[in-house]
Amino acid sequence: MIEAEGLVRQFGRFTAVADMTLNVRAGTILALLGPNGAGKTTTVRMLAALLAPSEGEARVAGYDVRREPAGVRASVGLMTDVPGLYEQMPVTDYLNLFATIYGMGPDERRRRIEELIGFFELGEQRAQRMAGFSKGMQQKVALARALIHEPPVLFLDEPTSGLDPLAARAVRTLILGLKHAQRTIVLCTHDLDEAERIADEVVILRQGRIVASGAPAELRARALAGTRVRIEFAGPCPSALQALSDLEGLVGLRFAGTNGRSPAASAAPAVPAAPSASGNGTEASALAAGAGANPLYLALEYTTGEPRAANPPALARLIAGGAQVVSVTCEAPSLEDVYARAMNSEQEDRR
Amino acid sequence: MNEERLMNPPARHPYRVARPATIAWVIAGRHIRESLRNRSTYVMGAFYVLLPLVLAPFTLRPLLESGRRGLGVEAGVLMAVYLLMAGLLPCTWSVGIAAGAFAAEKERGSLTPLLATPASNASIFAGKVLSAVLPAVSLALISVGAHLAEILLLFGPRGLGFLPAVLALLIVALLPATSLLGAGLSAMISARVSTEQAANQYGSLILTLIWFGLLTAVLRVLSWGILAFAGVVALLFVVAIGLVLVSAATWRREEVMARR
Repeated sequence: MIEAEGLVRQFGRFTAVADMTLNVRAGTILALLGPNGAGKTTTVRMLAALLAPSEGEARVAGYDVRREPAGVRASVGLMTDVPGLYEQMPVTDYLNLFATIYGMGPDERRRRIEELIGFFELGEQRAQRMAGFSKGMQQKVALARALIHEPPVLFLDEPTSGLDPLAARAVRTLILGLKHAQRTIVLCTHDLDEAERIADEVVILRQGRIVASGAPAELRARALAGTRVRIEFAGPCPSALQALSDLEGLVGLRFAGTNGRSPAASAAPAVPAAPSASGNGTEASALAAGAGANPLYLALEYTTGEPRAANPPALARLIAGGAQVVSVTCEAPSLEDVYARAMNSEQEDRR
Repeated sequence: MNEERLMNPPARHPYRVARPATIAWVIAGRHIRESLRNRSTYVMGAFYVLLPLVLAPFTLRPLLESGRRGLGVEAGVLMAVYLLMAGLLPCTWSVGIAAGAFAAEKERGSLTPLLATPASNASIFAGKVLSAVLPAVSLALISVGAHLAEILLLFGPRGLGFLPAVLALLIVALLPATSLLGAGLSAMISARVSTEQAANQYGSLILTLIWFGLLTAVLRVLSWGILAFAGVVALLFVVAIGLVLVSAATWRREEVMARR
């Protein structure tokens, strides 16, 4: 349904999108993820034939974005990050205006407007001017406008931005309700949770380039080759790290209890302070006691590719060393981990 | 409610896009209806119509009641100036509307959904210009009618007879030309600047030029002659129509979307 090959868009010397290649099948929900300025909106605008690509080719719903822009625009529905309504108009007049432009006849317009008003539960507001509508209500009208001509491709640019959690959930439910084998939905979002819940495919953009793409599960598996294991203790256990330090197959071994400090500060003392060899015994015990009382030592984390093989010996060693294990949690990596990894490599690039 | 249709869109778009003239009319109609819903439109309209009506008697009455020789020509020119003012004041409204046509809507975010439709560039541009010209010219014609009625009521048919009919017709013909020229220029600039403020500033500049140009032309009508004035009106028409046609044909939505 959407095929893009080497799309580039420049604004003067600034390259907003560089070498974008996409292939989105019909019936897919694709999430474009990335920080502000990553090129999500510019990509959508090129695919919706609002901006011509500086280089590259793209076909949307069978139409070439350069040579058949009117065909592309007739086939796509666009919901922008701001609802962009004519606020002095009533809902039905507003939808009727767009339906007329798309070439729908009077009976077809009436039928379609009734369908959309029913679907989005706008019946009570149908004759009201939109000026006083809440943001959630405005987003519903904007989504109805984008759907008025039954487009096979839908572009949604941050559809839940600025919405309260309940309104955002309602919009997400509507988006999922629109999913169908023949409709392709491209969703720009900052919200990783939203992408994870809705999208079949995810593309992460950084400085106009694709840095990761694939199904969310595939991306998660690719990002962290392993399962994150968290072991919590009943009391501080400062020797736990040393007990596991020579065990094979554990990566990123560190204390991860909460101590009221910032995460960066929490992560810093990965190895507990060893008792001073030169000091007297009383002094050394006091240091150990001070370190032992640190809540940071209440939990331990590591990543392993083989949790079934690595966890039993690890637990055995900890228990043998006197640790009172309260819980063991195995977590598969989240899309947030994938995103953080992609963005961290950006910071490394800058350095 | 037919949710099946919502859930099951056709593979390709099923509708044939409306004709450009229909789209232009729909866009203009939306703007005009929105203006009519706005109270400030009526306040401004009343001001434009009433100002010449209030001012004209103060200068016309002493002149017409003086009975001195050569009164006719002087009264005719003065009436023409008032007629021009009565018509031109509402026409300047079109410059303001057109100035906001693209820039203001872009700032509000309401332009992008329109540009995302398959409407042609020319039909969008024409719709925006029409939306500025139609209300302004309608108000100008109401204002001119009110002004002529006032002269007839205050000074009778003899008083109205001082106004040369050909000059009056040329002034009326000048109104759509002026409005079209102002709106065309203003819309062209509005589509090429980033903010409403910039569009309004350029719009004010256009207004000033139009005002001074036309007042000079009317005041010089005695020395230039009526034919020269007719030539000015015709030239203005040609320039205005040419400008709108060229602007509509050359404007690209890309110009609005690419401005960051």
